[in-house]
Amino acid sequence: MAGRDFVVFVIRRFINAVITLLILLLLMFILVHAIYTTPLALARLYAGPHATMAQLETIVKEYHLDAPLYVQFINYLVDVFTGNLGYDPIYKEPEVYIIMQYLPITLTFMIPAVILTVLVGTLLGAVAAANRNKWIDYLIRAFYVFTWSSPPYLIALLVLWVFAYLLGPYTHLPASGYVNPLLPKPKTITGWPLIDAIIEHNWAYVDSYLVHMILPVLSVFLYSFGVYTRMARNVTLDVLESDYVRLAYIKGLSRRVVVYRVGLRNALIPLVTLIVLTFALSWTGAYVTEVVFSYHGMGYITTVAITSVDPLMVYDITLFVGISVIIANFIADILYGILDPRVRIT
Amino acid sequence: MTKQVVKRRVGGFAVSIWSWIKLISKDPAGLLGLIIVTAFILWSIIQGTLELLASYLKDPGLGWLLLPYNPFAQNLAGAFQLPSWVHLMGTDYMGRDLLSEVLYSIPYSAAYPAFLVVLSAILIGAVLGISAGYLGGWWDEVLMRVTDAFLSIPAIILAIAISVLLKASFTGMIYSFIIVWWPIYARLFRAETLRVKAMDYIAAAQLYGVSPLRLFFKYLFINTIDPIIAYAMLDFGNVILAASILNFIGVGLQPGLPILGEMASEGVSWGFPRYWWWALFPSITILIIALGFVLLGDRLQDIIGGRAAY
Amino acid sequence: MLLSIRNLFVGYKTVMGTLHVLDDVNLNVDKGEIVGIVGESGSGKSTLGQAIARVLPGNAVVSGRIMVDGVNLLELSEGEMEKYRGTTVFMILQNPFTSLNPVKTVGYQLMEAARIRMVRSGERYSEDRAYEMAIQALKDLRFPDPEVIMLRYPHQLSGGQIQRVVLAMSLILKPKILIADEPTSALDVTIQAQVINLFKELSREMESAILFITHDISLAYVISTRIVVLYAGRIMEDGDVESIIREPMHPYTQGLIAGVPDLSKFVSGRVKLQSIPGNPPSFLDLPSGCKFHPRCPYVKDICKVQEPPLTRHNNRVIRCWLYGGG
Repeated sequence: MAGRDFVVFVIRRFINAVITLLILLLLMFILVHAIYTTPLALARLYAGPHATMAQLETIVKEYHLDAPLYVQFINYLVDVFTGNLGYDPIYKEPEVYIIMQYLPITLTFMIPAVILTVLVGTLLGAVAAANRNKWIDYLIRAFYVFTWSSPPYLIALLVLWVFAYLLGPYTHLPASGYVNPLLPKPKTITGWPLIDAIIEHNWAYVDSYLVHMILPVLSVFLYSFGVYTRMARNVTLDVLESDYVRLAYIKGLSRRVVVYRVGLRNALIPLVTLIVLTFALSWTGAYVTEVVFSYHGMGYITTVAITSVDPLMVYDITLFVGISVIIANFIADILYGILDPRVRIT
Repeated sequence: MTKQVVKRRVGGFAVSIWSWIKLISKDPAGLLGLIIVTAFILWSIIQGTLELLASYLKDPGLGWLLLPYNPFAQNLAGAFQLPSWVHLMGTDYMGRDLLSEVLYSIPYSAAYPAFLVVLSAILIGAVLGISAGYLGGWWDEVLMRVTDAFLSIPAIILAIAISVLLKASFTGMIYSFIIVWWPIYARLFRAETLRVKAMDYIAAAQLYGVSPLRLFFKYLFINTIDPIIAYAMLDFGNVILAASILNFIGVGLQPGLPILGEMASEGVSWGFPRYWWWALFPSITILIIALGFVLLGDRLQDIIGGRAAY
Repeated sequence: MLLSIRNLFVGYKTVMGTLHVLDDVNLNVDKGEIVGIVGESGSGKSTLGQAIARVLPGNAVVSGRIMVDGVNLLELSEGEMEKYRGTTVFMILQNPFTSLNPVKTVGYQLMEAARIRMVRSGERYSEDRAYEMAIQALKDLRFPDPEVIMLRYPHQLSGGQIQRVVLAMSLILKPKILIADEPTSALDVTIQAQVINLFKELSREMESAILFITHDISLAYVISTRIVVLYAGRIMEDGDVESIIREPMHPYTQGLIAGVPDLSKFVSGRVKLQSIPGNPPSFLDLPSGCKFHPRCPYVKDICKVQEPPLTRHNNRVIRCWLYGGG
């Protein structure tokens, strides 16, 4: 019976995610049409900055940019769900194709960074909360206050400076790129270079990739760590002050059991929401880190798109990021259901 | 019981500013934050006024009256100088004094975005959030869905997208920030309104026939705003950081004027760590300003949330 | 003497300075006694309970002695105190809906208590035995289907059921001192009666000393063998239940009883049904001298200036200048 409750729960959350996605698409659509109000203006998006009038008019006809808004929206939805995000005017290739070259690069280093942030942040937040106002609490708080207030490029710069330059002779960590450019690329099996290389046993590539990944991961970790640890500490503090924690204590359970097995376990529930927040936040850290480290991922092509005035690319990338967060949210909702019986059993 | 006693005494705006300052200062971090924020605001007001006067009176010299050097004065022979007693932060590729550039740019790099964005977001968020919380029904549902969608894209990423669509200028950036920032405030106001709505004095006011506008301002807004003020304080820091990130990527610039984030990215592209001062000092300036707001906001949240006992 | 409290002082450090809550608390409780600690909200009665179990919040300042079987609890280290919690001192909290761990089943939490009991008694832990103990406790608390309840989560139970589960926990733990902090205040009147009856039965079974904290003096009358009246963090009167109700000595006690329709008939025509004028003081702003003097109908000059000490009159302990002060 609990099993069926859970399946119903999952389905409901899935529908929720889809609705949010639809609304997101609607908002983006409205945004674009509010700024580019005429079909010709819209055509400029697809045509690039140097199009002639004739080219623009062809595009208007081809993409039905003069159709009524709701028709355009339906077309748009169909396009998105079939994976057609437009044809990039500058690269002369489908957007989806371009983006899928760079997306795995970013995710490959972003996801470990998020996992690291969550693990370290939860632990340190709990330790800080359990030892409130003792020196370790102050130390942890000082650390996260600094990383929180630092602009991410400062963190990236300092990481780069300290580990690649100052300590360079010892660490041999590279200062840029995501892999040694002289190494041959692995065949495209999954589209994720690191995984492809592992499948092919191309260990030289894997090694170089991982080494190039270390500093960017560190950089994104330091950036997201601040916000997460502070929240983890606050959430844990709130949980530790609750009645059931006090009762567990009064029962005679040891302090360690009370703090970690009862307190932390309950704090995990709101923390799951934080994990999604951190994932969303780390996109920003990833963008900036890629600029500093010349790491060719989504952040990198965003900056290129900005300088070459390619709004379509920026728009589509943003869409991808939004979808990734909606997916992360969905996973978090499921985790929520697993962790909190009040949610899945009514 | 103790917690309620302290909250009653501290939680209302009726307590004077001076006692707030005393409370904040009890924590050394909070005090540091207060000092930094005050210095930042004072400098922004003074320097900002000078800059406005300079452009009104067509006397550019006013703009750098208080600065060690004219931030626009080029001196190609003295380019790329290391920090020294002559140029405390060194010079950039055109030989301009970095310290003067940094000080000159603080008002519009940091202060204007912060205040414009946060205050607008609070206003929009208050109207939408309070109405949603108070009226409920389909309006509430719609608002929740819309804010959900907005919040699913990280603020800065979305701001970049919108800015680019709006031609990536400074005003474009401000508008895009306001569009991206209001949903959180709407959520906060809505949550607070729901909490306050359940309280008796709202029902009493309704029975009295208080007009909706008066109800909004005197009852709902005043009573929901406390935790939002503490959050807003932190948020000023967030906006300043976000603006600098956009500037770093190349969005939201003002041609001809130095901007902190942009200086950092120029420093990187011209050679890091070779010309380290060029990238580092503007970034550290942002760090210090944001740090001030973070410390202050953190302390305020602790006080209002009743966690400030010790 | 099982529990002996001497000169207990408890304060809280806050942003406004140190709040003095409990002061000069002296109390003896013996095995099998049921002491009703009566006070208005804000009198410090919860603080007293928490102080004995040593679960005060981090900003509390404590001094004095709390002796249990000759050992001063306040001098114990955390590790040593841990062994006293649960099987020597246990506490039932006021709000049932936040008392239990929301993510674990009732059965898990009861068996957790059973494990603690077994380990402390030197028994080897056996899951079957723990399960048995939990089921038996639930049966004693009149649950018709204990096996089902064991599988439920706290949010699936009603307030009354949760309080009975916590009572079951105390049956399992068999503490020497059981502190019940307003256990029925959050419940419906009918459920209250049910829980109170169970409580009375259990206290006969358990031989523990029970401290029953409440703001309702008629409830204390029903349950206790002895009543201690608390006001503004000080003990005002302490005596066995029948004599206190029939002949309350302290003006505050008299006021409390006079305010209860059922009890005022016991008082030999001295006071009519009425409430005590005024409000209890805030701990930020305590009156000088006797803390009750602003509301006392018999106030004298000395009451405003000097606080009366606790004095003994036959079998009554009282803090009031009306009865001399030594």
